[in-house]
Amino acid sequence: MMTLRLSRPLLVVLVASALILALGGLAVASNMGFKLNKPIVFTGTGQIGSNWTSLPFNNPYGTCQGLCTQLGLITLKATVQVLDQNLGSFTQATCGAPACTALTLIPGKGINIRQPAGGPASVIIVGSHNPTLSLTIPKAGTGQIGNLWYSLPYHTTAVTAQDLCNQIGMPSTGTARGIVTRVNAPTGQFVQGTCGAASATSLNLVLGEQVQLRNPAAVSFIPAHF
Amino acid sequence: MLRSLSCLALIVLVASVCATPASAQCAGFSQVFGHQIGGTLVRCADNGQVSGFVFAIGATATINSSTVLAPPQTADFICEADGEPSQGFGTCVGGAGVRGDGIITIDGNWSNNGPLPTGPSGCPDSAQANGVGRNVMIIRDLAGGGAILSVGFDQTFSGFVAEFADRLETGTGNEIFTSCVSADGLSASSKTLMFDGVTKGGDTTNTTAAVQAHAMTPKIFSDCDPDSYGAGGDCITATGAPEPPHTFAPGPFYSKTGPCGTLLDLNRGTWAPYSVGTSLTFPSQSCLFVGNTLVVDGVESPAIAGALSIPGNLAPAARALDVRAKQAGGDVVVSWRTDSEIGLQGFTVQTKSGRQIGGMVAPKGIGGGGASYSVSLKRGDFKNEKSLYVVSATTDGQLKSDLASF
Repeated sequence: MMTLRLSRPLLVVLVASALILALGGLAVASNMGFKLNKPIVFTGTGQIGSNWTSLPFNNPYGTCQGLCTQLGLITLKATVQVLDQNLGSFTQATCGAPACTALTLIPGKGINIRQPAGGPASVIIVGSHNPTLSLTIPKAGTGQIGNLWYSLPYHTTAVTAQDLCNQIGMPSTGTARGIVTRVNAPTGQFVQGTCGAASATSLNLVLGEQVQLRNPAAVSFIPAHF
Repeated sequence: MLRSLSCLALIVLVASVCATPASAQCAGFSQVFGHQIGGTLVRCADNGQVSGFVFAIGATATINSSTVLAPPQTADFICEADGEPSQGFGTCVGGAGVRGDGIITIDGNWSNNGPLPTGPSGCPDSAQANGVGRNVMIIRDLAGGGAILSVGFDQTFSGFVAEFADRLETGTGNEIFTSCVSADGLSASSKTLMFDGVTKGGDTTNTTAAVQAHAMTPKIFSDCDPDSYGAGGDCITATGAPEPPHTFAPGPFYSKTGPCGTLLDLNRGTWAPYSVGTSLTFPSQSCLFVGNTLVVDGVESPAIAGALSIPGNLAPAARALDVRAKQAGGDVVVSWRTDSEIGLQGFTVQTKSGRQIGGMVAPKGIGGGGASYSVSLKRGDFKNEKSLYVVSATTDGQLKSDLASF
């Protein structure tokens, strides 16, 4: 009976090959498709039901109306909102209204979905990542100017707000620091993490949720991901 | 201990430096007002920039279309045409059509300052709770038509939805878009004052006018009305109880002078108190505006809610412009246009010698706005004459056009 004996050099080559294949697989995975079942909290008082939502950088929605249709949001009741970080102005459109068709969704930017009871309690969001897309947080200005609604990649390596601070390069020391904000849709509470403070390390990011980034100086970054 | 205090002080300092600064408008969240679900206002003279003013009951929040961005720019909260910039969405896309079609939309956001010299002042409902900061939306078109809407905060839309103040058609339940003019087309839908007459004098430099008018309780299109689209759904308090009814009464009179047929600043602070019958002098190329405020729940509104205009002796009036006459077979086709039809009763075509040809042509301008006309008359009725005037019959007398020949 013949037995196969691997020489030590051959073993090294095989292990190396396996490693390369595995890494190659991860690289493919970085562009793989995503499918996330995101719960939708129905509209309540104040910010209750403000579903700050991340969209994959590549997605099939295109416009607010495309999103409404594909997610099955209620026509003439559900709304989609975006924020222009440069002008500091909100834009809101209602599913089924002409404004919704006109509202183009910008890759990398998050949205706020509000929907009354009666619509789907969860939606399937699909898409893939664009690992070369660079985003810019403008310098914080008056009002909403400088607030970037950031679509957190679904395979982000960041776990907490502080991780984002570190990856993006938002200052964590000194008197002017970066701020990460999320909205707790069930409670309607804004939760804010200041880079370098305990509030940032204790602010856990939630898959499928966008966060708002605000920084004392303009900064561009390419999101880190697995 | 000292170290803890130092850390706390640092955090407070950081927060004060980096946090979204408190500003005049709603901060940190969006609060829209206007048309959100495809509705419009109709029959509004909108061949230029329409005037609007929105304020909140029980709050100091106001926004004024004339100060949002200086004319002739149009980044205000009233859309006369799709594609123009707007204060809310950013671009008018809600079905406002084109200028001059009578269709406008309201598109604002109490949170948006944007690239504006003066955005909204105050936030109607910073708690985002029902029953707080009810919006009163005053629209006045370029011909004196207008509507007043009263809309409560809606949780789903995070704002004040104008469509909910629309009426529903009996039987079908279809939404009826609110109009700037009454069903007969002769006055504003929400009429705060009635014109009783004017005594005019003066010359080509200055005009004097003493206006007689009386106040009227206007029709308010409220989402609290049972026959409204909103049907009272947003007419509730924060606890869900019915919102206490609001009272709307006409307020005192004010006056101002300015260009005719253009954007009118409705901010009460830019008007002077007026006693009806008082003679005022103003430039003859301008208009005198007399309007009145609203008194809502006993408090006078910061805005003029309705106004009439008295043209000066040289001001644009309901005169037929660009009159053309052309013989076509056995007919003579006469065409003309108007910029304004305030006080117009109708047109007649007269020969140079003064003979009337055909009957009276009814005004078509929406709510007193301008319009275009074309009529065919029998060539034989002109006999041997080949020149004509279009004569406007107005409440102030007759205005002849320039002579046209065929």
